[in-house]
Amino acid sequence: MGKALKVTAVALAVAWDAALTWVDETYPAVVDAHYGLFSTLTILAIAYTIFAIGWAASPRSERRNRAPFLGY
Amino acid sequence: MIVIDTFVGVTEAFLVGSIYLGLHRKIMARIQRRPGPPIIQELLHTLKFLFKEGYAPITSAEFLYWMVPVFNVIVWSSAVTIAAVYRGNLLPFFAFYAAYKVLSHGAGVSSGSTYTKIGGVRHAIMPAGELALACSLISAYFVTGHMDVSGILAWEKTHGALWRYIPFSTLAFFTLLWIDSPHSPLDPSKGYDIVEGYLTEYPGFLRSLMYTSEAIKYFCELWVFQAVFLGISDPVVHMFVMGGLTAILATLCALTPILTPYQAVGVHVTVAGLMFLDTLVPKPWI
Repeated sequence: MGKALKVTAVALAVAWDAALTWVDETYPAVVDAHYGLFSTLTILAIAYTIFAIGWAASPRSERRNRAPFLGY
Repeated sequence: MIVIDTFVGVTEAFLVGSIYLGLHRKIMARIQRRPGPPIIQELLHTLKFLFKEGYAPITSAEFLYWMVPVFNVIVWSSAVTIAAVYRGNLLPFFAFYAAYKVLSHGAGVSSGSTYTKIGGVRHAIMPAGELALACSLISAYFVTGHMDVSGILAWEKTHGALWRYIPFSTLAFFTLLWIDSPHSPLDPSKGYDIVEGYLTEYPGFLRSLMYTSEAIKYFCELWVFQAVFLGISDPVVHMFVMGGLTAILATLCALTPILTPYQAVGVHVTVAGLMFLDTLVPKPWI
């Protein structure tokens, strides 16, 4: 996977988190009116952010085709 | 402030859960006359793994394998948001717990390794986790007339802590905490005969996601127990009682040998069955 894809994934996570926080600060009434939607978007943002940071910050090698550690 | 509250609530659950899991590990080690790792070890472990390579074995069902850790975080973040941040309805909490069992099974079978498969299946057949959770929450509803945390807390403010009314249901929920704490004798899904159970094949940042959800889960379960059965609503008191509960759980885990799956299920069902005594045994202290 290229560096550009990693940067894009993390940038998307940061933008998603920042956008949600900005909407919450700027239009609290809108967020309160649709609290289910915004709670869901926030929880998805948290999961995506951790996944994107982990995926982008960790190294890649040729281990993709490894056998399981155990059982075979 | 819903978005910020959710961010803060989930982060707090992760940090506090990680620290208390570390404390659990430390107390267990000291009881077993080992020095044990520092209390922040669980947190450091999670952060360390976040920057390590994650990859799927060649035998894995890749989509499921990659998605299980992500969904685990989603499930427990949702549970802690609904229960602890918004003090809302507890039925979704039960649903999330059941989904967590399904995900653990998915984690076990998706790698293609027989060891993780056994771990996942063992975890899924531990039925009284859900049984105790469902029955104790239903008991709480019958007594208080509320299924939401804020309603139960308001009822407890007037009538006193719920454990005095339904002690056996409280015991059942406490058993659930015991089942789900690390190295629990009642959860053989991570027994040494199958290494780390359904987690065995998860390397790198995928494992970090699993640890993150475990920390949030630990916080969430302890929080719900304290709010529903002990009537605690103050965050500072929550922290102290959480430490005390962790010490009790760690002591129980350190001193009890691990049970076989059949013995564990037997204990689960017996404890869940004891809840019927709440309707039969007179309670002169009420």
